Amino acid sequence: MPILNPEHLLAQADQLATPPAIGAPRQADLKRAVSATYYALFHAIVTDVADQVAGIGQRATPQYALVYRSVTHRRLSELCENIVKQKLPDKYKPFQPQGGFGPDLLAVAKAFTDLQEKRHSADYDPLYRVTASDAKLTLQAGRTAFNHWRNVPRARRRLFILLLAFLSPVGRN
Amino acid sequence: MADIWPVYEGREPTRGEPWLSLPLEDAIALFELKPLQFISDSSRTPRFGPQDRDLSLFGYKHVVVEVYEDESRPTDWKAGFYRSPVPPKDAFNRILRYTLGPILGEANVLRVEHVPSTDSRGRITAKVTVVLAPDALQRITGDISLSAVGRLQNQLAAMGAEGTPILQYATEDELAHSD
Repeated sequence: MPILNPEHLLAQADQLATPPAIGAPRQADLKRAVSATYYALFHAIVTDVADQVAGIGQRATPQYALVYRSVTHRRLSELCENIVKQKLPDKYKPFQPQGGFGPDLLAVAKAFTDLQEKRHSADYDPLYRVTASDAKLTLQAGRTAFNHWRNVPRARRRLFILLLAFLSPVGRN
Repeated sequence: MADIWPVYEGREPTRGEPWLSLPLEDAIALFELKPLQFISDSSRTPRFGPQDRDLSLFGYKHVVVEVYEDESRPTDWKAGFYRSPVPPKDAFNRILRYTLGPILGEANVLRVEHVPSTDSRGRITAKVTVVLAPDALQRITGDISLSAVGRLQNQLAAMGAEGTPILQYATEDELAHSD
């Protein structure tokens, strides 16, 4: 399967974040470690979305690719921000679970918003400097978020996908 | 309880909500307050500098602590406003430290610094650096750092920042060799 395996991306991030035996770690390695950590979580979520919407047995089909490619970074980020704030736009309040989104989904949402910002800075901001400590803790947080994603109860995961597909960004509906 | 207000000079001293509400004893310690720093009672908003101009363009110049009437205060603390000797930028860092220290472990955090920034969508936020003790890395788990992220996001949102902050970590050694 050509789909990116999130665990492979995390392993790649681990290699890149490990300081070399001699000399200082390279910014290119540390920044790519941050980026790979973000993409591990991104692809874990998007693969799940496509598996559920198009079907896990359809992974080699154009329909699967269509669903996969329809999930944007921005949309995921907006949904995660709403989950972190525990506050959906009024129109979608009826879909807010009683008692909140639960600790696993909340942890994923926090991680996603944080990692996306870090990824953006790591990839595009020439003044952004990543330390080895930060790369390690970012990876650890990403790995933890990945485990939380796997632990999100099925009903909550379905709700997440529903909101991802149909939640209009604030001010655009 | 006490409220921490960042204050401009000029005719409009404050905007929006206080940076933080916290127990008076924490405010005294964090913002180096003394009873002699009392500047006015609760009915009179403290004002600084020329009052005929809006000087908010120059940023916050003072930190004022509002102590409430209902606080069970030591006798030498009156309700009203106290001016902290701590400059606003330093006060902001101390609030971040106060927010993140209990989550990350006080012994793991040497200090917290910030620079104002914008996030990837152009919204105002901050890049926050937690300076770690040399052996702190192995004591901070993924769940702890995710809790710190959530706490920071909530605190900055409460302080009026709309964007998503970046929370970074570094040791003193890493900061010293950053060039």
